[in-house]
Amino acid sequence: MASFSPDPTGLRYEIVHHNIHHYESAAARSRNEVRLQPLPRKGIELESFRLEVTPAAEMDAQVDHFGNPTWLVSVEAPHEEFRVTARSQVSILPQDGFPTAAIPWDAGELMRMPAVEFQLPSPRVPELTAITTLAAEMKLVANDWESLLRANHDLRLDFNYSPGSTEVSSTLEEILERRVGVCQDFAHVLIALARHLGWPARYVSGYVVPEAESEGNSHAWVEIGSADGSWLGLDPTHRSETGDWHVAVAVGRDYSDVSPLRGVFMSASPGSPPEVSVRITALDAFELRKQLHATQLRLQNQQ
Amino acid sequence: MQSADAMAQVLPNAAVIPIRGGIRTSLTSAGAAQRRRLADDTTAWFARNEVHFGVSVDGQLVQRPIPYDPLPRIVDSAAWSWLERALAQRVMALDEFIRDAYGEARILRAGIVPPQLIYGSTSWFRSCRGPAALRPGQVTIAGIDLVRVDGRWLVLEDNLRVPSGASYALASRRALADLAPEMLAGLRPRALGEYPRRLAAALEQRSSQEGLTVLLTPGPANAAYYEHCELARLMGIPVVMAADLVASHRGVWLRRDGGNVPVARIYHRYSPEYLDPLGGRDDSLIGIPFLFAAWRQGKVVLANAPTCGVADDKRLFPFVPSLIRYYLGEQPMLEQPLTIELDSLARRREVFARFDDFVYKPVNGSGGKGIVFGPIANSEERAALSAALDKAPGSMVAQPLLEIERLPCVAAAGDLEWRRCDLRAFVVVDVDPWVMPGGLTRVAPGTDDWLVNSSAGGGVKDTWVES
Repeated sequence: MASFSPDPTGLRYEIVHHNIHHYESAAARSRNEVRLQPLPRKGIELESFRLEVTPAAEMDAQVDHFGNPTWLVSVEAPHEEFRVTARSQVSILPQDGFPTAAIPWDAGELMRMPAVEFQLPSPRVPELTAITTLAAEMKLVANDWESLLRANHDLRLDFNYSPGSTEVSSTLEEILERRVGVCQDFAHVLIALARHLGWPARYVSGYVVPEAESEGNSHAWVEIGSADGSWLGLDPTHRSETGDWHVAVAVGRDYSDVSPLRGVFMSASPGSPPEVSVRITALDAFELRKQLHATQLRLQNQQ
Repeated sequence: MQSADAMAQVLPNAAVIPIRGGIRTSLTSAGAAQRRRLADDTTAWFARNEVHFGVSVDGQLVQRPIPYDPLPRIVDSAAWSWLERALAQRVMALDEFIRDAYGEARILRAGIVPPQLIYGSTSWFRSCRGPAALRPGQVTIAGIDLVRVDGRWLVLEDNLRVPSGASYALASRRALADLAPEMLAGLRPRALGEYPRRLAAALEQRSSQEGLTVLLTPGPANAAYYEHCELARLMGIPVVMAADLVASHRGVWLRRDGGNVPVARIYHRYSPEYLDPLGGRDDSLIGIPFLFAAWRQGKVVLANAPTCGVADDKRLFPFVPSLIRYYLGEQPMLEQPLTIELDSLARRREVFARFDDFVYKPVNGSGGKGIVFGPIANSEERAALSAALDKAPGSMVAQPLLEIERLPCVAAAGDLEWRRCDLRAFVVVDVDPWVMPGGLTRVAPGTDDWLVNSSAGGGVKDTWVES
């Protein structure tokens, strides 16, 4: 067997995210906020990022209130189609799992900025009596870490995962009523439960990179704030904690803070829903990745 | 006494009656016919000069002359200079709070206000965080509503989003200058005329960039459209609407046929959440996309800054005296009525047991809309109040109902009637705050009415500060 030295750049993936808007009558100009640039995180490095926009646009990269890279895109020329493609290359160093110790709950500490902002109701996660009911049904205990983990693991048992069953605009009330949804909806429900139980909880949009031969995809999950300022990820859709296969793009109170493309265009007719596609490609051979993973974990365990 | 003599010349047998601590009110025992004539003349003057304020009639906004009462309120100079200091103190503390709310939020760590009042406020815009939100002078102009109760001045409301009314104060003075110059010549109240120049200078002070200064109006459908046009005329700046402007992260331009012209300063008359659909309310059809992006990087001045709404939320109001102590290290000069949250059922029961002792106000209202006065509320209003509280327990607050000062007004036959009045004082913040020496005295429409708001049919009268 060939000897193998761990590549410090980790496992590399290319993520291509297309957004195409068609306008029935030409848009005179448009202004857009684009949140498609992966966030640097522990173990995840953004090696390159390119935002391609047609027609020609003026662009400026800023950082929003939540720390998300946000591209401001201004188009002046009349156009019938607006195309935004984000090409990211990330490298991921395998992480050794999830901290198993309970997050200590400290009301006084949690009142400090910035976590407290994520404890309050937000536009897509209002205070609802249906959440109180659900928490009681699931026998969840306030300020109790084990309860929160159980909510993350069991939520899907009460809800049907059903792509197409809900829309981006579906409200939390509808989701709770119909007990169906997709990752975005489960994230909102878990955020509501976590806040109800006393934790600051935020919404994360991003990607899951492919494991083995499976396909990667856009995804949404939840992070819970701790008194020491760190955030721990829970993925109610996969009924697991987050790991080295979650690549975050933006965080916010709920979906309304992180939508990948928000814009205003001047046109005589409304636009149709955008065509969106995401393609994630592993740039290293699968065998190599497995080896790297094993070596990394061994090194981490030795430390 | 100079003022008594002045009055006597205009209105025979006039008496100036001192009321508790320096406020005098003109009264006259004879001359009802004269008073009626002056009232008619001034009413005609307001109609002729189209000093309009829009009121809702059957759901339609109708522009009509603002009702005017010709008997001025008189404030002596000592009382006024005390008010000037008190108002400046209040506005400076509110400005500090706004910058802190968009910066480090030290006030939260000090435990003085609950975090909901910043992070939970619908008027705290995340999209406004940036260098511009930290600069002193977020407030360019403040309209502070005062009432007198038992001889003491109390604050009822801070208006920092779009404080309107200054032009009506100017018109009130001009009407008397045109029609009763001898009255003014006698008492010689302090002049108001420098207001537009002060406001223009305050805008100028906020940016040395090349570019136009414009007044941005939501349009003729706004109740105060007269004021928008009038102030722009007096300041010598163009009136523009959203479609005239275009913004990007690099700045703001006025669209002109020959090419776009840079805009450096905008005196806007918008409720700030409507200014930018990508920064405030995404359903705003009158907004300018990327206006906040241009503003937060200092490419354009907005007056008032879109950040100001966080400081005139009615839920913050009870904390303002604490803000003054915290930021300025001073004792608050102006008093204010107790404000009671109704979000707990127990508190609600306690307050409702003495229903008639309170006035109930929506936390996010303006123009007197949705206010319920305990003693005159009918069963429908009571039911609506309870329903609103059931739906959103934090949406209404209660304040003890105060018997506010009444001032003499000219009644139908020229006789006098006493109606409730408040005073909207205008503070312009340049490097230092400047208080318009007078302000707008607002008058309830009838002797039984409590609300003085112009959108509730209230009128105005001139306010004389003795020099």
